[in-house]
Amino acid sequence: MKKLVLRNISKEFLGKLVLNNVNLEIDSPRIVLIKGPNGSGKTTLIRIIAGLIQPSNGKIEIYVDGKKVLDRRRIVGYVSHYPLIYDELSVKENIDFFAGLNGLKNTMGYEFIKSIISSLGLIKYLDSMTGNLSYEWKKRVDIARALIHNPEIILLDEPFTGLDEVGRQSLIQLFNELLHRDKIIILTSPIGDIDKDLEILSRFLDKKELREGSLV
Amino acid sequence: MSIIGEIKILFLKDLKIEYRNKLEIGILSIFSIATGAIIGFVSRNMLINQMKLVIGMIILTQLFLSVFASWKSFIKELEKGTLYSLLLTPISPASLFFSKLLLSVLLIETMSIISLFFSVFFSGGLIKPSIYIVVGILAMGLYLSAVSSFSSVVGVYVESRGLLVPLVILVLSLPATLYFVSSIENMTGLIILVLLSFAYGLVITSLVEMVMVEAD
Repeated sequence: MKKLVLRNISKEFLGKLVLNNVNLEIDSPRIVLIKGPNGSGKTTLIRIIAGLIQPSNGKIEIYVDGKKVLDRRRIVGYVSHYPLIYDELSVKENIDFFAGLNGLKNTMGYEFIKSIISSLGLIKYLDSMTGNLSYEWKKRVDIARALIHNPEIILLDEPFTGLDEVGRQSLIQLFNELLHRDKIIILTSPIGDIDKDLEILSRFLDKKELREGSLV
Repeated sequence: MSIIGEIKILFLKDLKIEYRNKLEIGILSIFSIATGAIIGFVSRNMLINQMKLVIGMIILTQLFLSVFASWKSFIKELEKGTLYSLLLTPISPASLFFSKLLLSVLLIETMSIISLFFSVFFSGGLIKPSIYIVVGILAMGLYLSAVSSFSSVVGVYVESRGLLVPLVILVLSLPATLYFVSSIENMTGLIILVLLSFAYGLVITSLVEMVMVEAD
């Protein structure tokens, strides 16, 4: 059982209020969609949850089996809207590198990693240089990078952007698998894509919208 | 995982990427050979053996190299977005800093030796560096590597890093250079330089710690 709690999260950039008193409490397994137009603070919120930005006010608490987690990095996986991987390395080298930094050796020996690579359709590209791949495949490698350490909370910033129908289906399949593993998944969507994303997610989700607090 | 293990993974990744960027390494090598040749030819026309002037010219070459090394360090990771994926892994700030410092040391020292070798070669025997001078130039390379990594971390925080980074390197290296050149014979300069490098190491490690909590 995992729990993510956001208490009165606010964020100011140069005197401009981006997030105002956001409260959220999520238990696993659950997918949450954060929606809003560009500039509404979706990415800021998701980065605060990831620990990349400190909030101006408020705090975040994460519990795994009732125990408070102190080092968020070990249990959070973050996928940005642009891939955070090395073009100069092959797909396998990228996966091995990030797995190594998470203390995992012999990457392909882990069933969880093999299943992620397989779900994302990356097996045939393992030896390809990442820089030679299209944006969509880079994004898939980046998703694998974020999931490599089997995180309990998965944050995805506009995950469906740039993916074709096959890519979307792969991701949905992956979300399904992750939900069965008792994960919390939080994703953002720009206002124009919401209907499409909701339609995709509603196939297997219990939708939960951000009602408490507000995105300014 | 131990800090040594983390540094090894990060450093090997950087080394692999540098090895694949053959054009950059080739251009840097040509730059070092060319500066060595210029220093050698210029020294032929000196009326007396002006060893301190030669040292000054080699340090100037190292300054150019440190600006380049600074860009290749944290700034490049920031511009490619991969700094965020590194910050999301549970590695220590010290590992991140020392792996980048190691790469800068390798780059600056190798190119300094190439430059010194070719300046001796093209001087027709007029430049005869003593062991103190060779060790001194290597110590200066170590110091500039620390300054370069420091300026790279500073560059992460500012928009106008293209202007600020060379300025920071120049300002921080000037006093050390003057002191080093004036006290080269009595080894005091070398000891001060090595101590300064370690001091910068401590400052930068704490700065990396700050980056890890506010990397936006």
